[in-house]
Amino acid sequence: MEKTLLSQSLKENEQNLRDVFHLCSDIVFRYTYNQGTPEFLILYLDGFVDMTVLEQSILRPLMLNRNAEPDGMGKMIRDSFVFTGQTKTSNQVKDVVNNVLKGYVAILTEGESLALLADAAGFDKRAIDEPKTEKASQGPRDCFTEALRTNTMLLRRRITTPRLKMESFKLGELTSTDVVLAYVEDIAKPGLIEEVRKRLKNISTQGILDAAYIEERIQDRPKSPFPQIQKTERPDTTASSLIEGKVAILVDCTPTVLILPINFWAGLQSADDYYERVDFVFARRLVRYVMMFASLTLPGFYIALTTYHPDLLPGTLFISIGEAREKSPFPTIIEVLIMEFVFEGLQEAGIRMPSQIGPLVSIVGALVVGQAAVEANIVSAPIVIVVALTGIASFVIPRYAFAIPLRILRFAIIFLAGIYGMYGVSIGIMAIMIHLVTLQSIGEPYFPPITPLIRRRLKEIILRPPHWPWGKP
Amino acid sequence: MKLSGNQLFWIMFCFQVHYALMPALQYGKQDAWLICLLSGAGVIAITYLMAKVSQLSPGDNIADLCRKLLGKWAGKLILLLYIVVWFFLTAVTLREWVDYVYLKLLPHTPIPIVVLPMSLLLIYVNLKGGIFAIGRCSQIIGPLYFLIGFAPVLLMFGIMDWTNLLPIYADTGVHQIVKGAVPTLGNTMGGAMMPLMLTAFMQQPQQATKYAVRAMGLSSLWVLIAALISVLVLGSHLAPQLTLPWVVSIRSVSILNFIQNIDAIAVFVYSFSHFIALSASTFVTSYGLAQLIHKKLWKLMVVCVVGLSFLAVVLTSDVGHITNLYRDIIWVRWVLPVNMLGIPLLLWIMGKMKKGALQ
Repeated sequence: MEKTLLSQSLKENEQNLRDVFHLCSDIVFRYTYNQGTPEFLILYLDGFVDMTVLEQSILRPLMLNRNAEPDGMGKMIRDSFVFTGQTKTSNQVKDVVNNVLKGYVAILTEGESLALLADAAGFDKRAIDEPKTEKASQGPRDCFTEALRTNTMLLRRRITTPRLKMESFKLGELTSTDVVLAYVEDIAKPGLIEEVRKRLKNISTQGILDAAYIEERIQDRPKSPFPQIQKTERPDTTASSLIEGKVAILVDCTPTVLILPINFWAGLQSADDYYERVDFVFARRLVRYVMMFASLTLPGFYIALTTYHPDLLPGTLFISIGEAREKSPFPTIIEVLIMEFVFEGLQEAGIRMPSQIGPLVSIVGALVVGQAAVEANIVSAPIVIVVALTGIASFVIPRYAFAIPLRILRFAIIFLAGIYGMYGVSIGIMAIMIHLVTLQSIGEPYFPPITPLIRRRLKEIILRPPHWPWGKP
Repeated sequence: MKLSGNQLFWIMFCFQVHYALMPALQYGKQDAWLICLLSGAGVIAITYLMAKVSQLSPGDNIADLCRKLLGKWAGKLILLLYIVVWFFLTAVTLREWVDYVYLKLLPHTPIPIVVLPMSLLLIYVNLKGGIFAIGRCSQIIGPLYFLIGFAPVLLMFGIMDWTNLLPIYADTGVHQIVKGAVPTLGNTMGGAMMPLMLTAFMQQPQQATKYAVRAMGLSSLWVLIAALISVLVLGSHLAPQLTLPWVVSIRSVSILNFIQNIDAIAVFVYSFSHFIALSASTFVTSYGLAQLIHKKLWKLMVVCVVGLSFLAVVLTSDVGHITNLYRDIIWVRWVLPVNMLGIPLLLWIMGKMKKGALQ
């Protein structure tokens, strides 16, 4: 940009802005005339502006009020003629450009080095939908969308207090994405807010296209497979986290909201835990914990028990497994690896394939991988059972991001079990444990309330957190 | 980060290993529990002394304490005595563990391959978080260990023969009980020395005594129960001859033809508690060594200590069962009188006399 300040001449300003928006076909320069002389220059991005607002609240009053004083035109329009919710003025070319790019309409006039910026943003956006990745049997069904303002609205509707703060940041040199840091004042720890603010300000990048771009840049240990920041698309989950004293980061153009800090157990809790009866939630959480452990270790235990310590299995069980394994050409560990790999491939295919051929893949998967492979004696039936159980177990985990580290580490456990049997499985679990207890989420430990021990919060792990902690932070 | 009382408790509790049963059973047969009672009292008394010594000067560990009370060189000498003992403790515990894995789980695997993953874990935990990571791990493993340790007791009521305990006292006599209590004491002592090094890392060092004594009390109680049950289940003739009588007792549980071989689960959990014991003793050895040489070198020292223990285990792996030898020759004759009683008493008396030097 050659000039940083607006000039008094309308022609000069137009030329200047046309240079800035050179070859941008979606920019519109609109003049209004008063008795043949140009009076106002109206500048907006086509598609970003609600046309009704533009026509009814900006163009119409400007064009109908012909007898305005030439002096103090900016003040006149701002006060009397522009009927939009938000207006501001600026004399910086950069401000005008940036705001026009965000959906504002810029109004310039002859003889004034000020531009009036009126909010008329009205670009197309998706309607509020049902959550796709975090399904719940009970509770609210709305979900964040790509529009930041819709998302802040969804939070405000739940927490109607001015203590809910929404600090605004702009990140990314090219995208200058709006990022909002939300927290409830007096509940969230000031040190935490300060730390998150600092980390957000330290981000320097060309572009932020998704919340994950921020997640990767502010987490404590980017190399850890375990998520240290929770991603959610549910407003109710976010609101309850805010009330618990956590901090949320909302990013424009992303339906995911980041919640931090989190601990290990957050990955195993689901939103509808709060909406169901306590006894049912208790039972459900037990299922989840067992399945979480199975998702990590079941193939490892299978290998260890069948190849290293068959004496530990009940006799009849061992005989059935032995019979099924008899015709299989591969060693157990190779068999498990092949089947796990195929299963991972099926999962990947399930995400990518067009929905029309979904049933086809499941038929092929079930038939080819399951039945046919067993009947042809290429793999043994127990392996199919183990791999299928492990797969089911990993889908029991409510948060997708949390099932991923278990899926990856499962392979490490398989290798260790193949080399060392049970001893290998325990070595693997210990290594993961050391990692988890030293992991931190925004400086907070990852494994409370077990370690460091917080006695009064121990029951939260198994029972649904009752509503009492909300009253007393 | 600071160590909490609860973490100290579980670290010390995890030090308790079941091999302590052997001398008690060998000397006491059906009266092994009397020996355990006596040695348990001894352990608690020594732990109390150690904890008190460790609290003489808040924020100082044994190295600083020795330096302040005895001067630079005498202090270093005393510290060296402890480091040698701790190193032996690390190496022998590792050796015991490897023997166990080798015999029970992996009879065809070469010893170095068996030791390697555990050694790597020891280095990993010490470099990653030092004693704080160990403390946190112990808070997960400790309660688990406790539960798995005590749960089989309930399952074994059906197979206990209470007449195995008779006659009480008549066969053994005071002399034999005292004679058996000393080696038993020697075997259960690993954890008692921990406060000397660890109290300085605690959030509230004044609580160290409470938690240390509780931990050693609970583990002594456990040894007592394990001795009792081994005799009740296996009988007073069989139990003393086994290397791991407690594990064999657990193995004899069979309910509904389904809950059986639960010693596998026990082995699984023992590996966790061994890990705590090993990593804590690695930590105190390498930290002490670093204080002896140069404080900044402690991460290097961790690698050295683990490497040396690795070598020690690999080189002694065909010597047979060295635990008894080690216990009778080194631990009972030297460590017990010198490191456990002599030096702590000396430090304690000097600390009381020279209060000014500690300020």
